[in-house]
Amino acid sequence: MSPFVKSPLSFLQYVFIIAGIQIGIAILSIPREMARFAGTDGWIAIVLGWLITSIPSLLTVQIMKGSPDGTILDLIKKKLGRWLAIPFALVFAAYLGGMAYIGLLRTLLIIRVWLLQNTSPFIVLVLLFIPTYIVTREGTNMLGRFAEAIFYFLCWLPFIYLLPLKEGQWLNIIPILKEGWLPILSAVPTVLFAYLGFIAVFFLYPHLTHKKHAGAGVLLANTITMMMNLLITLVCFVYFSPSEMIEVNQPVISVLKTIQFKFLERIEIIFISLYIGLYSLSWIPALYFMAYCLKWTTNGARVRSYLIGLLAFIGIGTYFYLPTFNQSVWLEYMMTRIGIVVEYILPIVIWIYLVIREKVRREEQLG
Amino acid sequence: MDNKTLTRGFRKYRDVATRVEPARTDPLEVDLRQNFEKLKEIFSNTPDLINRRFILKADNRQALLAYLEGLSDKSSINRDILTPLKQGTAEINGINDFPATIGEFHQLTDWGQVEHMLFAGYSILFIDGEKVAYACGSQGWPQRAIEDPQLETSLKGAHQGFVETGGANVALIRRYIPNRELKIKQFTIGARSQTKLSILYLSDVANIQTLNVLEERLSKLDVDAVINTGELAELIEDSPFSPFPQFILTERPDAASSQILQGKFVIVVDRSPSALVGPVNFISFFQSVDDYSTRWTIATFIRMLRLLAFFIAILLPAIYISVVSFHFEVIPMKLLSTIGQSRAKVPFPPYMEAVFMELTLEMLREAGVRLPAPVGQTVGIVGGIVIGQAIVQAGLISNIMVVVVAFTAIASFILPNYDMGAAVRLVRFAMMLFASLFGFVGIVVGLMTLIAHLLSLKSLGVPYSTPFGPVRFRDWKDTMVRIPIWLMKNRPTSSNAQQDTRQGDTGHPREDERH
Repeated sequence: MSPFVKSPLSFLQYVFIIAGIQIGIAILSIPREMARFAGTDGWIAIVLGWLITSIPSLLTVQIMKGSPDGTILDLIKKKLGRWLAIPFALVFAAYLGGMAYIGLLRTLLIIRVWLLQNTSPFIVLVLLFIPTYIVTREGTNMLGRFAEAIFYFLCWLPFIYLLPLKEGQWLNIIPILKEGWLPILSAVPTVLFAYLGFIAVFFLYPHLTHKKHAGAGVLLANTITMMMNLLITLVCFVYFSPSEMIEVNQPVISVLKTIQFKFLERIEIIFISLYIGLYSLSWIPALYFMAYCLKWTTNGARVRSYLIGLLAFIGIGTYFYLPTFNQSVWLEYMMTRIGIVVEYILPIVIWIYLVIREKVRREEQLG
Repeated sequence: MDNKTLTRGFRKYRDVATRVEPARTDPLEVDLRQNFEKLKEIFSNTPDLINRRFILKADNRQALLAYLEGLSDKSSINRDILTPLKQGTAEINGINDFPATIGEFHQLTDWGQVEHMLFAGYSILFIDGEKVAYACGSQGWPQRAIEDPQLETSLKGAHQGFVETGGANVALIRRYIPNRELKIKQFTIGARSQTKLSILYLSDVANIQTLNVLEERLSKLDVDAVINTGELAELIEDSPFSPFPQFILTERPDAASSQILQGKFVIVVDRSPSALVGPVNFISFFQSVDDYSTRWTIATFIRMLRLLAFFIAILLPAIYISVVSFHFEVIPMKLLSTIGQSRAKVPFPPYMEAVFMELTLEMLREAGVRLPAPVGQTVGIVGGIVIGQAIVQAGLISNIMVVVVAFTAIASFILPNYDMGAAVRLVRFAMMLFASLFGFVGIVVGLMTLIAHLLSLKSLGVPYSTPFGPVRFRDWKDTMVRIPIWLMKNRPTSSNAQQDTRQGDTGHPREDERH
């Protein structure tokens, strides 16, 4: 039996894996970044980014239609040969590794700032590796189930963000387009960071049980991400004044400070803890796909041994050096640029190449 | 391969071969005297073997009846074997026309069979001049009467529990499912115990692949003895290192029957008063027989109560620890000062306080289980002092901690399945450890680990956490909610049944009357 059939993925699991990567990696930073670039009109950029993302994500699915029983690496190997596929695999591995590291780094920094000031980040990292390893060692099927479970567990979380609206000022948002389209357009490249992650389609497609709906699935995942970002950004804009928005370090967390119950204060502490579950959805699949790429390159036997190696590598690295918050922001900028190349431009290039190749071949057959 | 591994391999091989002597194959003799000598030789030091020599009235031949005292029914032997043979005049013409008035009858040709049948409680008849012996079904051993189940008490369910005789247990299940599709596959496990296992399933409903998995695992077993169903469960489960039970052990025939009707497999182990049900999923440990005989709204409420209790039992002490030692800013000022006042005198850090109290609770529980009932009351009284006002007044433990412990104790006793309750208690301590080291972060990561672990578990190759992961909304009808029985038209997908439909369009009774 093919390994892809043995580890099947349902439609919703596929959607949740992709949406999990997208939301997990950027949910906390997007509102502030949008405010910095485009002021209170930043939410328009999120919608624009969503529209733009549909194109490469649909192309990604289109590319994968040529490979129902193999990942992107198998496809490249089939079309271009193994020696050209290996650099691709390494690029994907490096990119996904960067993604996983940024996700982990963000989590560690937030835990250190908000929750555990005195605990060494290295030990927290080791703690985070426990569920990471349990999920990743089981493969794609397990990624899907885990993403699904976390989504259903935390599906009530966005609704809590409606509570601060009571004290918000809707006037903050209007007038719309107060400074024209230019600031909004300048924010678009940054907002694409929030949609990075549909690269997962390259690796998930062969596992899908209903491959027909793959395109709809990616669009649904993008839409979930867009709704989530839009909701939280709008709530932040309504609650904070435009100048406050840039000064506050973590508006997404600070906005929850207003919520208080008779028996519970500082509710954001609980929320940050719960967010760890959401973040994990970004680094867990990314680490798995990276290990898969490495395994594929070396024709290795098991993804598991590469995973252990990767976890050990990240662990040792963190033991010696942990970037600061500002450095992590810089890393995110770099990641956005690389991501635009790898996730937005690369699929277009591959797709054009495949189309031309197909045309040439057909003409050869005819002639 | 070096010499050492070779020897070790040989020793292992020899160990398996000689651990239990292989069955004898030497044939029986014609001469009764020789057979008698051989019998005495095989069964040396077996004072409970009774040899009764007598003369057949019909043809005046010598005969010998041998049986194990205690495994056979003496009155049946006297009435149905000895009396007709000693007094009747009918001749013995082989097995088809035997004068003894007994139901079950076998013809034996070698000593291996004789040995086996003797131990199974048959009485063996040797006749001078015949090269065969006859085994008469006169089994009868000490038996307990059918009683109310002890562990799984129920308010409205049947009051018959399984007993220690496999045959009787199978009969109890058959009473619920008098259907020819109810098939029984028998296995014999245990080189020394020769325990009979019966797999019961509905052949047109249950999934054959699962049956193959089960049969393969059973046939691979090479053990001395299986004394109890719990041992068998541990031998054939999917993940032996998980704290969670992967089979339901039930002592209720009605519960076992309803599982069979859902398309599952039930293994009845002879000599053990509980049956094993598989494949099961996580949520089936939260279902009880009473859920289906109370009103569905009430059953739904109780289901949700149990799930809530599951989380309270796992998390409450951990939350206490992390709030008091890490995140006291979460609690409002007034409540914080109350907690502070009650904790002011306590010399221990929160995690020690919690571990101490939870361990005390576990000891009290365990003592209560093992002690005979008259002494057991003492445990209750002493426990009331320890987990109560006295320990608070002594300044050892804070008031809040006592409340937390009492809460978790009640919550963990609500779970209807004993094995799941035990798993929850163990997981609670792991959570407390996580919480004492990392606060809320520890709890969340611990929960993620728990979810990931539950998602990765399987029971007989079927995902353990369906219908929650993989999500199957269709099966949610019998999980957190229990919808009315007339709406449960399909079998749960978790049992992978061949036949999906369980009942026709029964409809709502009142609606039918309106038409």
